[in-house]
Amino acid sequence: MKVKRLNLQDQQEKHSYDISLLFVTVFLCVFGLIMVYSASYYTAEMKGLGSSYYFRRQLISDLVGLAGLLLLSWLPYRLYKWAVLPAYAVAIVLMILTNYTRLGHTAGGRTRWINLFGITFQSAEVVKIAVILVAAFLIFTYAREYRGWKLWLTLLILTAVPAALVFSNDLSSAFIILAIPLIMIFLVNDNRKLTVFLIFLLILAAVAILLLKFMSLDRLMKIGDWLVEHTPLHEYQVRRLYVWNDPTYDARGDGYQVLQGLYAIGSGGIFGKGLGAGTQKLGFVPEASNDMIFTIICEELGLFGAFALILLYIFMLSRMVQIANRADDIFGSLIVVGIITQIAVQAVLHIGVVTNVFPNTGISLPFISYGGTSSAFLLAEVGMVISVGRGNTLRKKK
Amino acid sequence: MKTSRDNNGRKRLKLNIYMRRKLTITFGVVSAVLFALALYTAVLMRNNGDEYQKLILSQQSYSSSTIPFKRGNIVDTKGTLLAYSEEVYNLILDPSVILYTARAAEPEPNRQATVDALVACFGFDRTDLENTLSNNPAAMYIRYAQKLSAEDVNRFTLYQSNYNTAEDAAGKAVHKDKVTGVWFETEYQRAYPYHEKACTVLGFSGTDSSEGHWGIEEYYNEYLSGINGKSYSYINQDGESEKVLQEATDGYTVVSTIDWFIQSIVEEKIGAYKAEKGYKNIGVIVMDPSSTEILAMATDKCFDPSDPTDLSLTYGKESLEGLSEEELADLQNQMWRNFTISDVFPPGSVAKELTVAMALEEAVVTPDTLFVCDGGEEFGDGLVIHCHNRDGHGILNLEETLMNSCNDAMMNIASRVTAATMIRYQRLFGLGSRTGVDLPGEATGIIFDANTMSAVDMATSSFGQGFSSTMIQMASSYCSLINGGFYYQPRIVSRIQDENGNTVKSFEPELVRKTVTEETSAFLRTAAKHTVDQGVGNIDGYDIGGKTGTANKYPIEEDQYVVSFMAFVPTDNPTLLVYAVIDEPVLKVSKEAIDLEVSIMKEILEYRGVHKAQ
Repeated sequence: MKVKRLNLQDQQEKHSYDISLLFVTVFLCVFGLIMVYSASYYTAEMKGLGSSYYFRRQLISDLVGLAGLLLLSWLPYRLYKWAVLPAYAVAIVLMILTNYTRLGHTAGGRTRWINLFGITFQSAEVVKIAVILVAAFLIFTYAREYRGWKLWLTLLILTAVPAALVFSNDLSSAFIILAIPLIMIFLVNDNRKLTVFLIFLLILAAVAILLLKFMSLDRLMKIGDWLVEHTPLHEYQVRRLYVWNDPTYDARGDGYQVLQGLYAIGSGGIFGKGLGAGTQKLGFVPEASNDMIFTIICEELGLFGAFALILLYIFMLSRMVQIANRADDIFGSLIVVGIITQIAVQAVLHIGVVTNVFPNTGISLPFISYGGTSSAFLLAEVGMVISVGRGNTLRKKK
Repeated sequence: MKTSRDNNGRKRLKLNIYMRRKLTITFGVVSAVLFALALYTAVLMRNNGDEYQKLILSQQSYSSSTIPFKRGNIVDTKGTLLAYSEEVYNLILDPSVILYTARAAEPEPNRQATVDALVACFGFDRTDLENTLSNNPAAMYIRYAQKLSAEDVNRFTLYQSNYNTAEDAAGKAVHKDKVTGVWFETEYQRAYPYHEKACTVLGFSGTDSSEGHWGIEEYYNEYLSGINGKSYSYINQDGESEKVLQEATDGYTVVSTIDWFIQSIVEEKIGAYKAEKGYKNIGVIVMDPSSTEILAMATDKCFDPSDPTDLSLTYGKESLEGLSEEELADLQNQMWRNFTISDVFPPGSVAKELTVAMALEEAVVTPDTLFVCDGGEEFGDGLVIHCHNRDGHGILNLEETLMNSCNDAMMNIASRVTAATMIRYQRLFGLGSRTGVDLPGEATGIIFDANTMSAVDMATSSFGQGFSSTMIQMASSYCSLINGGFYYQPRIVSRIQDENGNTVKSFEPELVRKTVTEETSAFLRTAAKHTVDQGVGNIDGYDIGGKTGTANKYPIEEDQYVVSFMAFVPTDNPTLLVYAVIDEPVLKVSKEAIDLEVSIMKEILEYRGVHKAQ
């Protein structure tokens, strides 16, 4: 039959191992390793750890992540359903342990890590993947029976609990965790009013950002004073807004990181100073190898490097969008959508923060920044995307 | 929702066309935002690139650090160390290293060991140390302690290396943690081993070792100062941080002509006088007349150059209480100034030697010329200038005029020359201009203008009144009168050495001019010898010449005097000259100065082992 044969061809094409996605991921990681080495060797040397310390650690995380990628891409994704409940439970338990027990590990004034059996990792990364799985599974399972508000509300509550646990120590991760179900709801709901409302919320946020960004510092400071007095916001949080509005505000204190990052970006030029030849990483840009790594890329590889990197991200995301569109079921699609959300929001926030388009909040650049947990989990997530791309049914060989 | 059937024939939920469309649009928005950010980056580069590049470059120089030079030593003519700079250390804490956590399982592994080491080696307060670390976890440079000795620092470095490298019998490290994040910065501190001794000559150098104040420290500052070194890091081609060290150039050693032993004698004798008598200022200069090198120079004012603002050594603690800032500052300047070169006074009878020398050189008198002293000279309008012997000395030959210090005879001599001649000779003898001694703060003194000089001015000038001079001017010109007429520029520093003792620069006695002939010089030496032989300032068995001076200070009504005694030994070929001046002594007689001078001269002669004359 004609129709059936077409379908089969279609099937053949869409269910394959996405080599190009694997390739671009590995490419990004290798590029990341090079940039991590370039950005960190000075700091590592200064701390007496040997210049390749951070590079080696990152290499190990990447290798672990790659192993995870290969394993997960090989597993059929329908098996992930069994992981939904355990993952969610583990995420909640980890967050409680991190926040409220001595297992929590503090660095740079933030308790973001947990130390289990000698391994330290960022609990929020587990929460992200758990939330993706839970949201995808809930929608997949109950969308037919409980369409509409009940489901969306359940979803938001289930997400809000871990997000609240993450919030106190990691604002940007909490933001990503909340963005995941919101994007999913936006995509799968067929209520036009809700869609319009969500778009409206986004536009409102964009307008608010633009307003605050281009407001005069004097006026912003008046608003800041009001906020400190009448809301639970602290002075130091409000000062970030001032720095965002005018990075020269307190150039030696709060504004230092942002300003040094801007110097690095601005001085890059079209082709940069050359790989390794940047000078801002030599003790000037704090967190040069993680939260600020895009500044070092701009300084050393210039506009060319920045555009190339952004094109790579767009290519990667476009592959994932295709996989989401062609997935066998909505569970697979939504897993991919969740992962797309995470990568996209992290990349946009990171670049937005270092260029001072958004207020300063520490966030790593996916696949590039130094940070073991983040790298390993992101790689594993790409493995899940590839698995979804391979299809849910085992094809019979003929 | 779009559905399809799975293997079991159950309907499956899939993304429908609307959802796909939304996903595609969302992806489009994300891509657009990413592109917008990239464009914004381009705008940042275009608008601020140059400015930021400059800012970056200006920040880079920040990372270099200065290595201070070591200020040069000051030594006496025999190499005795009078001033030197010693290394002291500042302790720098680097909390970012001390508190570093590599593995979360062991937070801040090196903190305990490092704090223990610091407490054990320096006795720091543990609580304060812990608080300093906890309050500045990200800091990299905290100057925690200053001016530690090399001994303290060595104790710590030894402790540190023992702790960090200790191994047990099996060759395994004993301690898992390390003492780390502590380093030392070198600084130099000026030290004066003899404290207030020779302070007038030395001056002082403050915390900034490139600055000197007063004395040799100020005058020879450019030699004593070195050049700061630099250390900076750059990243080499292999990506390693390479440290470039530009060593500091240390200052040179300044070798003074001062003889520490003579200097000590002088200060000891001044001290003895101070303890007993009243006066305003005391100054003593000891010179070698054959070269006009200064062997000792001292005043009654003293301070410890390592603590130059402490006034108590000179004025005593009690007298300072309740004084205002201004008064204290004034006293400080009084204390620091060098009376022997900065203060002027009428030299009195010592100047008679100059008058006689002039007369001999101008041939208006001969050694055989006779003078009649009737106790004074009349200058019209009833103005009579008396000789100190109002009854008159009677008939005197030229030598006897000096021996008796006869004012009348001097006035007679003055009347034989013109004002121009007199001033010419005063200038020849170095009056009215600086000697150029290598010390700061030298005064000029005031002499008359030949065009306006009256007969009375000439008369008073002839016996050392009416004009003023410094001690160094009188001593230098006197040296030329007794050394055969060679006026050398007085010197207190003979040479500059580098750290290996090689001479970098040497200052030979510099002949400025010839003042008198050998005959005149010989005559003056003999006259001086005979003066002392009468019993004025003689020391049994030594061949000494000398001249006293007693001058009225202006204004005359206050009835204050400057008494002085200039003596030298031996008279045939002088090698030692001692000039002692007491300003406003309570006992207004020249004996005060003579006694002081004799007490000094006597000990110097014993120290030098000069043989007594046969």
